[in-house]
Amino acid sequence: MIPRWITVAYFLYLASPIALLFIGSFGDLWLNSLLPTGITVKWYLDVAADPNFRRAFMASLFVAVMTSVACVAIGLPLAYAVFRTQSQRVRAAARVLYQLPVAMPALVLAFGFILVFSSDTLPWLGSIWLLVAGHIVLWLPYFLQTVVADMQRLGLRVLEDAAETLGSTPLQRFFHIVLPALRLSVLSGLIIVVALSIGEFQFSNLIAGFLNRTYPVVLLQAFYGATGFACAATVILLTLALIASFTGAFVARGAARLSVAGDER
Amino acid sequence: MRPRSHLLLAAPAVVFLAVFFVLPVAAVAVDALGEGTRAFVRVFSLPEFWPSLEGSLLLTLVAASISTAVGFAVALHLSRLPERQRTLYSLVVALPLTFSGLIVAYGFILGYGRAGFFTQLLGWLGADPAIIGKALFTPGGLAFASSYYLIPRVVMGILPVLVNFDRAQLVVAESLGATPAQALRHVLLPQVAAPLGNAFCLVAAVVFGAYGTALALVGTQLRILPLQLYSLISETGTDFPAAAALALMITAACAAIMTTGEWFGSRHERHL
Repeated sequence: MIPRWITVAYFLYLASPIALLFIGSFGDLWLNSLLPTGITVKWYLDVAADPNFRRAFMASLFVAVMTSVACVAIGLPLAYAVFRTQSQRVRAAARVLYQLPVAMPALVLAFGFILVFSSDTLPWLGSIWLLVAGHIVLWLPYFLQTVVADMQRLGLRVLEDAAETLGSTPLQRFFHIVLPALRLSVLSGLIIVVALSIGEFQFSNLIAGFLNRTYPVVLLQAFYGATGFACAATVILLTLALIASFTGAFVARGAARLSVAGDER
Repeated sequence: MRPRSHLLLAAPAVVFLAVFFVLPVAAVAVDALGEGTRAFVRVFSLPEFWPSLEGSLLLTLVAASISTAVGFAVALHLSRLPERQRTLYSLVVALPLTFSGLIVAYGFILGYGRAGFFTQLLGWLGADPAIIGKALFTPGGLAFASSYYLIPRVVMGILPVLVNFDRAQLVVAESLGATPAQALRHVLLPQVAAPLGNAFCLVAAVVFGAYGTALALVGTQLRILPLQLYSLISETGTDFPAAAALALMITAACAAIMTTGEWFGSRHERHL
């Protein structure tokens, strides 16, 4: 009985900030009253017309897309190497890598970036590419973990061995077995990466140059202005995160089905 | 495939991580340890260091305890539901995992800030709005807000363990005369203690190293270690070796908490 009531209370706690942000974003005036008065969409129009927010939105999108591209380009081969390796040491190293985003705060990584990349030999601070590099370090572990787990669950090795006995080359196996089998987990890994990258604040806040500030960095400034404007600007970020969560869950369900079908065969 | 071609596949990522992860971390360590222990001594003598350490410990303990307790209760309830319902609810519970810390901060300002929705509601019920409105901006209030993105991590970690738990054991205990509470305490809890410890450590490490939500809620006045580090870094003419020493200590603390969590996790695996 008690767990049920805690769950009910928890869902209220979970839903209330989301609901208040949506209500506030459509409210005309919200000053010391329980809820705002009047209904308007002007705050959204204001955010959309604000050059800072437009530029920040594009910067965030660019960083998220480039991070995703890199995750596939360097992360997928790494995931495959981790999956195929016999070495216990490599597996242990991969497990350490999965823990990194938590064990190594984004703030400390950002400070390390400031120390290394503001030097004369590597003067890259302020460049959007450096921001992308940081996001890759932050989110690659999540991508890797999703994809490696899926490789293990699918029993990819058996399929590959079967193909090898039929005379296929490693490249053929990679493009005709590994990639098609992994398409859903790669997609769901990328959705996680995009969602986390677009919302990321702690690293970008210190590393982004003034002209390539990302959306969350600009959003913080809005908190000191009109409530409606701040709500609308936050809701845009919130909506992106919600879309990512639901699409991600949908794709993950497809991936789970795929493995069940594999078991039946 | 031969081991050598594996190396080749991993090489681009390894080189990338060497430049953009190992090098920055090494730079922090070198800066911190470059003058022996002197940078650390300077950190300890900063007037805000000890209050910040106290604030961080309070925040971490409160947030991790609340999150583990609530997360366990929610997971326990979800584990009893039919699978379809459980999947749907799990999706909802997982939503905050992709939320930016800023969304959480502003949502809580709207709800529990000085003129927040719940602050006013509680005011009507007789509570002093001035006290409640200020509470959000203390380490305890920050713990309340941080639990928003910590509880989902606990639920996601514990739920599979509870779903796989054989409930017949509780039925047997109760048929032998145990109350439901006793059955939970003596039959279920010992079996999930290790995963609970693991979840506690995970969320403790997350909240110990985070500054985003705190900065958005309170600015840099709140005394916790990551915000102190943030102020040190963003001030001009700062003492970089001292900042590096502080960064190294925060990382060491997070890594130590995570390692403890891993130890709990491996104990559970052995138990299985």
